[in-house]
Amino acid sequence: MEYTGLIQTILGGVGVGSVYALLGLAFALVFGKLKICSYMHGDLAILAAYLGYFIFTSIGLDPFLSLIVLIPIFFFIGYYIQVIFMKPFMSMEIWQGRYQAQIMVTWGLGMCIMAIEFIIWSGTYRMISVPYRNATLNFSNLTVPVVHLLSLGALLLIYLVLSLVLQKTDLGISFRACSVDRITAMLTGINYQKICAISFGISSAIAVVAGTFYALTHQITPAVGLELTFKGWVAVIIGGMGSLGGVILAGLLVGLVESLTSFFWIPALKEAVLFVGLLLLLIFRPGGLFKAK
Amino acid sequence: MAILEVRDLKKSFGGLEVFAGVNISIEKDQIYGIIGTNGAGKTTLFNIICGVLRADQGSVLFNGEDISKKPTHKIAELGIGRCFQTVMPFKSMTPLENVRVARATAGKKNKEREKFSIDEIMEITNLTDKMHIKTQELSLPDKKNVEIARALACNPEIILFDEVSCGLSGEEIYSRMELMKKLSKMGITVVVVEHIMLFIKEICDQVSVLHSGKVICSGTPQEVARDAGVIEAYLGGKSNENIGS
Amino acid sequence: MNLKKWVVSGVIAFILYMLFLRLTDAGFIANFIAYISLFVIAGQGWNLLGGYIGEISFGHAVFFGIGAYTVGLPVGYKLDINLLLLVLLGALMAGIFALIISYPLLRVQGFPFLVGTYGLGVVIRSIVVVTPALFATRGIFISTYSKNFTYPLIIGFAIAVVIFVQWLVNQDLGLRFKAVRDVPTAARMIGINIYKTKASAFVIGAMLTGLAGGLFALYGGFVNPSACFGDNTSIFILLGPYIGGIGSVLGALFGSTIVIILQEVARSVITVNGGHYLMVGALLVVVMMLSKEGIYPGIVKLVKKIKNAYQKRQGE
Ligand SMILES: Nc1ncnc2c1ncn2[C@@H]1O[C@H](COP(=O)(O)OP(=O)(O)OP(=O)(O)O)[C@@H](O)[C@H]1O
Ligand SMILES: [Mg+2]
Repeated sequence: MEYTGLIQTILGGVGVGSVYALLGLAFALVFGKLKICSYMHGDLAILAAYLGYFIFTSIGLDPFLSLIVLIPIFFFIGYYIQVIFMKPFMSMEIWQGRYQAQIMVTWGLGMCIMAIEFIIWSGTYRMISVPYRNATLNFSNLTVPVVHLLSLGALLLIYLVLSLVLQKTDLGISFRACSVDRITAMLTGINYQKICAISFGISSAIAVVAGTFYALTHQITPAVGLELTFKGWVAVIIGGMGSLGGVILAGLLVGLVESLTSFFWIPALKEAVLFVGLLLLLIFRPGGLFKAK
Repeated sequence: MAILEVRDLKKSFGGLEVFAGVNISIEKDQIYGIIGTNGAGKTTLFNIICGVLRADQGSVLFNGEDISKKPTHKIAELGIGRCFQTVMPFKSMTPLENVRVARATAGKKNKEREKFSIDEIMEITNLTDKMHIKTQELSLPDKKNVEIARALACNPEIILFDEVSCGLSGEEIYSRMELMKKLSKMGITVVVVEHIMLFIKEICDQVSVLHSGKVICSGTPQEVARDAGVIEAYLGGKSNENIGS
Repeated sequence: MNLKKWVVSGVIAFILYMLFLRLTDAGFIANFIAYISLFVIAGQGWNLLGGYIGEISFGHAVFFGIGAYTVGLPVGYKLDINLLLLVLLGALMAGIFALIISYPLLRVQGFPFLVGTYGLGVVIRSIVVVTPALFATRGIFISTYSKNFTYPLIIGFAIAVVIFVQWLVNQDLGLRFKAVRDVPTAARMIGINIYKTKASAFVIGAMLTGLAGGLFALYGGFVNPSACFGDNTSIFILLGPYIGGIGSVLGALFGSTIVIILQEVARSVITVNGGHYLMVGALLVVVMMLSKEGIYPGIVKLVKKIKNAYQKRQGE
């Protein structure tokens, strides 16, 4: 029936959208407050997806269980990427090309990750065929894929935890201090570089979750990484540059736009429609749809 | 007629009211001083005149024309030049290129008002022997010179100087004063913001004092220096004489 | 006088290439040089915006593709129009499209601009892929001139473009580009219209990139969406100037050459599809870590340092 098909599409859109929202969250966390611009989280997410795939196919461990291992590993990967590669650019001002330099370094790293994936797993599409991949919950004549529900849940959980950490803990307070003014924060004894590294680690850990859910709903191939990166950034732009709540709504919206386009029109045009929307947004509301403050 | 007039200007940043109705009128060919304590809003006033910031209320008249809605580059083309408090030369270019690009834009629009050739500008700002070095590598006084040269190259009718003497040695300050006098003699109106009273007393024809959102006093430097309100604003609360008596 | 030097070296380079072409009979290396030159042209166009204005575009393949398809489409529809004319028309079309699209894109700066240009690339590619009238994914074959004509043509254009950009950036317009990049506020204060200035860099750059696309159609005799509008094309257009030295003409020349050579070498060493990205990505990271401004300015700085140290020692 047409009507249920539409509802199904919307649910699917929200499901994919939560992956974009998670990536957007990862970007917004380090960009909005610390002015760190990363273009590698999509690739990190796909790397995590491949690792989940590898673990699943070799020892049969469920991707959700391998998250327990992958999250800390990626936290440290992110931590050390920040320490090793990003540190030299942290003292640059924006007009000195701070973002450009950061984008290029992270993008280069992302390209390396993608190439390594190509070398190990080749470009063939892979999927994690867990038994519950196609499992659904039925409400009257609506069928909701379980994975979508889980990803939406994970998104909300991560958002809540992040907000709590930012509001309540010492880490969050030093984090906000760094976001107000780097120099002053350093003068009051906050280890700015460490805060940045921890945040980058956290955002990488979020990317792992995004990647895992992506792998559970899509087939993966290395080149998807950059695409995911851009979708995440689109969410950040639409969401108003760094407000976490706005980014989540925007990410879901991105997913919705894509699935609705596929439903009503040609699936191959779903990204085109999304970016046309983005260009229109730039004309009418350059500050984003859900502006912070 | 006044060349530049600010009428009933109001401006707040969030809760901070910087101007609560400021009126200033600058006559042609004057050297006009604007003084005020730190944070009095002098730079903000310049920013509003140049269209970098918009006023909440009030108008800015240049030669009788309201420019308060115009974009910055149009205002520059009309003939308002400016030197910034924090120096902003084009760092990747040489001083000569800094001047050339100004000549090619606002300077070209105001060609009929041209008073100096590029060589003369280099000469009077002491940059002749440094004009092929990247501005990035110059010293702070030279960077300030580059800004002055750039502003002059626009062939302005009026130039706004925002604390150009800040961070300079006595001799350099003196040469700036000479330069400003020279400009005003050549028919360029000069507006200066300065903290050094001697500077103001020496060169200004008229002075306005900005304090807590208002112009609290206007007149010749001598009049202003005697004004009780100004003394109070600068020394805080009561002046020494009051305590003595 | 500086320009004269460029012109003379350009002419010499062209003569050398012609000799080489004769000697090797349009062999592999002559072909490769022509291929590099295409990206040199496109990269110079990118550099006007990316280097001199400071806005990174991830979507210059759009202009490259417009250039290529302006040559390809009439051929596909069996219209008999002079190909060289079409190449020039392609550059013009790319410029016009840039002018239109600059309106939304240049309203934002920095990374929204970057994402916007990437999005533009996606939009145009998707449209071409799904439109049968544009030959969708099939692409168009073009019966082009002989190699002995196209190669020198490309080299000639490349040399001319490099000289043109070198000339342009020292003109008033070029100085305005740099002024806008250095301090926008101060640039406005000397009467520069920021939007117009950015748009002119965008449009002129897009025309150069479109020119490269048109020449690419002649060079390969084939246009299709992935070769002309693909992300890879955007990436290699921008990598050259970025790695070579953003905002310097010689750096862009240098960088485009390095990137294309490296890519081809890597492709033959790491035969896995996509594996060559390892080399390119690693190069990008290493260059950025060693010298934020790119290889060429980095080398210039190093040479200066060594010279200074040497002079100091001589003085002692
Ligand atoms: N963009 C802005 N946003 C918020 N507040 C601002 C802004 N610009 C200036 N202010 C505030 O407005 C007040 C006036 O600033 P302004 O720079 O004009 O002072 P000033 O007279 O030039 O001081 P100084 O002598 O230090 O240069 C200050 O309290 C400043 O903090
Ligand atoms: Mg000030």
